[in-house]
Amino acid sequence: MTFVNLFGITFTLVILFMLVALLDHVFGNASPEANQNRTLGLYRANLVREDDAGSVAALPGYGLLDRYGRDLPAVEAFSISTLFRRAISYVEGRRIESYIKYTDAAFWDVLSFEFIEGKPFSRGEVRDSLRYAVINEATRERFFGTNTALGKPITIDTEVFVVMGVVRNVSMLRIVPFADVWLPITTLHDYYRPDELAGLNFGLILARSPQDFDIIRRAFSARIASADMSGNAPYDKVIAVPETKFDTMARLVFTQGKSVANKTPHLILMIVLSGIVFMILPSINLINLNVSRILERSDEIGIRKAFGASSASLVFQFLFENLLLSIMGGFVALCISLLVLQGISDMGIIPYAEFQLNYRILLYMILITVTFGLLSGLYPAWRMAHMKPIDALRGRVT
Amino acid sequence: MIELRSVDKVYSTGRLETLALAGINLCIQSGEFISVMGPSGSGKSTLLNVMGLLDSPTRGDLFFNDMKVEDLSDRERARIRNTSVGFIFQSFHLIRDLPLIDNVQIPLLYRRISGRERHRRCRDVLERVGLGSRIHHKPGQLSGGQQQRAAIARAIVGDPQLILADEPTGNLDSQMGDEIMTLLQQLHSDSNTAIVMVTHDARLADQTQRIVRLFDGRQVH
Repeated sequence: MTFVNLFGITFTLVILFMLVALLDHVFGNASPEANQNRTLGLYRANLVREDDAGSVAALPGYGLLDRYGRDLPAVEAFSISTLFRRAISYVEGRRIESYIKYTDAAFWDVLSFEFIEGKPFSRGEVRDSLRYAVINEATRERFFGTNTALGKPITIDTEVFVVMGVVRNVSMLRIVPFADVWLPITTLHDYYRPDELAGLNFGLILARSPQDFDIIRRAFSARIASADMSGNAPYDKVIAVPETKFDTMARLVFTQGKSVANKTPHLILMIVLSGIVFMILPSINLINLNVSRILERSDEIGIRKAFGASSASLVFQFLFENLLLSIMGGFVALCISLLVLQGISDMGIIPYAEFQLNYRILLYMILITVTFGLLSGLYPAWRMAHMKPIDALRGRVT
Repeated sequence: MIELRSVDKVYSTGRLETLALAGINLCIQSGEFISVMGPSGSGKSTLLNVMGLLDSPTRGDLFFNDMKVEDLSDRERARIRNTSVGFIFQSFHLIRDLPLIDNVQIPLLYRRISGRERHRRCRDVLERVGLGSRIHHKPGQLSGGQQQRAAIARAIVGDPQLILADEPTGNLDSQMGDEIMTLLQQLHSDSNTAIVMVTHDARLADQTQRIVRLFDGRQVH
């Protein structure tokens, strides 16, 4: 019976642990997104009509970011990039697909890439549209093998760039920094579209401190309230909010980006509730198993009660036992999760995704394990503790 | 020490009501050794369970050291069971997965006593009942007589005022039964502990100071 319990606990916790590891991999504070606590993004732009007759939901356009995002108060750095896209190269007859991203010099200030070779392109080089490229180590290997890439030409979509830096690989799930090749945005033929409010770009804002977020939001909101909508007919208004990736996701889930209202607490609540709902089903199962396990021990309960155990001390004892079992399950689940995540990393299903354990994940895992242990142990412990001693001794329990 | 006034105990199963005890009036003084006799189903075990606060009377009053048990909370009843009562059951009721020393120390677990002191007291009582060399054995490794000795050790380890023994020799052969009875006699003569023993055996009952007889839940004289 205990083994069946342990198996049930382990299975549930493995799934929850993997989910936590995945969420942490996407949203957690890790290089190159190590400054997330003071980074805001402009990831969405919705063009709407006053008469509510239609709207456009897209990424921000270059015009929106350039005209209204620059020189906001309390900002240390502001960067404009494109979303990554696929590009083709040929090396000695081999076709190589890479993901490229066009960006600016501030991108390297907002994000903390680890350079293995060389350095990022500078403001001057971006301004002068110099054809420099920063590549990741996987791209270096594909193009140049084990040799250095610095100063060497690299052809991307028939255009030639010179490699000036090599960085560590970044997981594709980190969509903000991710790419194989980063190129100056000014080398993109038609990057400058001052009227484009909705397009294929995103902006990154590095605030001086997290306390400055409100100042930045208010300033940006004031600017776009009077945004020049000419060239964006028939739309009358643009909705965009400097926010974290998680905030954007929350706003998209709950308002499709049509409102500026902060929906992050709603999304957190939804995730927590989903987690609890997900835990409740196996918990009910475990509660049943625990009740059966406890009924098997009714004699012991009767004996302990006969010799003076109070209901409270028995609740404590059985909760403690269940918690111990959950912690054992948690430990086994942790080992299994690590193996599975290592397997997923090794298989390369998600480019450059390397799932690793860190103190945050460990903390969440402990929290989940304890919650699960308490959730599945509380009712059986309560029920057992409130048996009449004589009924427990006689096995007269239902 | 313990007094029952017009105590009834009724068991209800669906529409059926069974009167297990009817109008019991009984007073037990400290240091008494009493046996309870009667045919099967006469309410002997029920009486013991009520006196030991394992079960509650349906009607009537039960006083333990002048405290009305009905007025006590679950926690206070547990405390009385822990400090003042020791049980010996016919089928021993030892926890099979625990060694004797851990079985015996159960009453002490619910008191503020250090682990070292608990072990010392358990070793002492196990020596007293002749199981000093078996403290790490599990119940399944012992004979019926030895298991009952262990159960007696558990009942006395907390120095209770009252020991309630429900047919303590019922599952044993006559020789082992005699050994257990000798142990109880010895216990009684060595301390001021009151003992109430349910038995079918008139020979054993005759060795006690007073016999309470029950028939169909009623006290008979």
